[in-house]
Amino acid sequence: MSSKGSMMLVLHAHLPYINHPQSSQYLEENWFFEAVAETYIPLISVFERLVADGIRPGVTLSISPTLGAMLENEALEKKLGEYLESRLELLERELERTASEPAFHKTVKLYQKLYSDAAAVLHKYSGDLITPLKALQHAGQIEIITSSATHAILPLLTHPEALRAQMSVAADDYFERFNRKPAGFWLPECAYSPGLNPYLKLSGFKYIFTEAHAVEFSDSPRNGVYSAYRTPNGVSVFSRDAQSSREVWSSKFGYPGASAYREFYRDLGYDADEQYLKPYLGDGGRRPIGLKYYKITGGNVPLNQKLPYDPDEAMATVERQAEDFLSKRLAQIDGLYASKGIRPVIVGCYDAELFGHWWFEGPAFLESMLRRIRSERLPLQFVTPSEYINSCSEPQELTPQISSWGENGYFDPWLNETNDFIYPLVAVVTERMVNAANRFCSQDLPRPVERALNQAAREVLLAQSSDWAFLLYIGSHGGYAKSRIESHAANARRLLGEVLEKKVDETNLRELETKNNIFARLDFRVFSSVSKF
Amino acid sequence: MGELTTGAVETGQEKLKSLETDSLVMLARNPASVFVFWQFNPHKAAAFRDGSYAPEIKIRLFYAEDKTPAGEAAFAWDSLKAYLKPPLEGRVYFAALYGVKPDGACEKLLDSNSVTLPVSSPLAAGSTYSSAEFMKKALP
Repeated sequence: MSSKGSMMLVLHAHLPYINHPQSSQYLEENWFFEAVAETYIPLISVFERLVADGIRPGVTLSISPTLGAMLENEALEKKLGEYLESRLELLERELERTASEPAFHKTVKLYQKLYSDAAAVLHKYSGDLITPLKALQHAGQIEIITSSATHAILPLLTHPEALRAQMSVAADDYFERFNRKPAGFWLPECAYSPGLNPYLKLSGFKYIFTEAHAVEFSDSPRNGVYSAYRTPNGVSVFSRDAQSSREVWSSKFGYPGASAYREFYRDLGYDADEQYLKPYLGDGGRRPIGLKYYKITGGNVPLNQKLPYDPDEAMATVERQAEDFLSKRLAQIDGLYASKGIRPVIVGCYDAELFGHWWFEGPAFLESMLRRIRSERLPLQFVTPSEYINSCSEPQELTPQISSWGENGYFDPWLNETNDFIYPLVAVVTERMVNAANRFCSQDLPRPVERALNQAAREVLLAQSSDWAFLLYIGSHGGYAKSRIESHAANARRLLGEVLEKKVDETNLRELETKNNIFARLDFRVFSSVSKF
Repeated sequence: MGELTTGAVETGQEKLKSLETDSLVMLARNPASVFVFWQFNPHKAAAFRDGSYAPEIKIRLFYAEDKTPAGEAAFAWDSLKAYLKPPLEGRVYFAALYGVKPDGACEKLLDSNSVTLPVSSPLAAGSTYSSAEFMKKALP
């Protein structure tokens, strides 16, 4: 059936680079294990099931370079295998413990399937989850894009060389991972300012995504956020649709807050006997372990009064919500078609980790929605950005406004009294890096010096990550975030100092190359000023 | 947050000065505020310590397009950072930092880069529907 409009679903997958090969005690590495088991593998499985049934997902997946590197990191892969084994072992015990509690037993079996499926997918792809994603993109089923090298809030970087480095390193990283040049660039946190345009163009990116008010309050956009635009230097711009975003994102009145859905905040790590859990908690005492047996029940119901989760009830809600979401999009498209005479594209952008990790039923919602479009022959198609750009007429030119998708729509979460100490620190090491790159860029350097400069560039990029500012802002893992910022800045200072003093400590250098081993082929010259590049 | 009053006409410069020695850097935070941070070289820092300058510095904001003053606020010289409230959204600003001599005269010590202040939008409230909303909830 022909459609009056289309939907573009963009899932942004990102985690900060967390890799502590010398230790098994970093709880922050669990973010990666949880996201793999609960989000990335379930999404890959959804895509593969749909493709097997002849349904093209048509989803756009942004994979940040830091996440891509973690997905290819063999030390993390080994720890991930141990994590899954540990969960499956606990679930065996949980099956016994809940044998006489049918309300919980069913959910234990559900988790057992989740983790055993995850282990099976990892085994199938020899631990490399990039392989199935690459295959899906190669077959035209999904489109994969990238983001800035370490997810820096680009408008808050003080040096143009840093902007260029963040984008250029991301483009090279994508090429190495996916064997093609990236077309799309996910602006971290949708943070945009017009000053980014030349660097986006320079790195070869064809399109970006912004928050709605970036476009709505620019130079009279003809079609609101419902078509693509292009910046004066030719980068296409898609903007997030507020309505479809709100329906999914809001934990208060959005779909994930349904009473039948799994309650994220009540976790076996706090409910079960501590001695019983001890083998699975590590050294840090009680903490969430990812097994959650209760449903939301009601927004105002205290955690200790939540009711047991019922997977069947949750799946029935998934079906209802998928139907509701699609009917609302069709009505939205009909309304725009009638009022503006356009074939709108509705752009829905979400953090990938929402689907599965935070919103346990999210992958099932996505699958149900995509199956319904086919089974009910709905006049709605999912398009990827490249498909849309290739098929649409010449877009209107405009310059989006400064904006982000964070709280209040600007940069407050990443720049406030809790985290503003970061900016002087990062600015100083960035400047030292730029100066060193300019000084040494055309010299034939001894190998240790070249390696030290390359590692310093890695450290500077890691210091620029937005995640540290965000963690400090929300007051979660703030000590870890602070130590990461300070250690990356200190590592960069030390390495650059050693280069200038011609005394590179190769033992220290090797340690840093092992620990902060992102962007293996990084060339420090990426930080040199444009005229010297 | 520093409240601004109108100051004198000065000039700005686009390029960041060397952060290794003296620097004044400005970042736009939202339609109502900018963040500035500064650093003095050891010589200037010593001048503040020995009383050659008053303990409070003045930061003046200027409209970049015509270099007219947009406001002024005072801060402790060693606070090294501040938030300022520029008067108008959507305008391009730069800042200058002044030391105050014992005779009350102001001496310009640092210039900042220029930044464009965002324009506020009623749609920006919709931006709260992002991951932050989920992550802000504390675990029990």
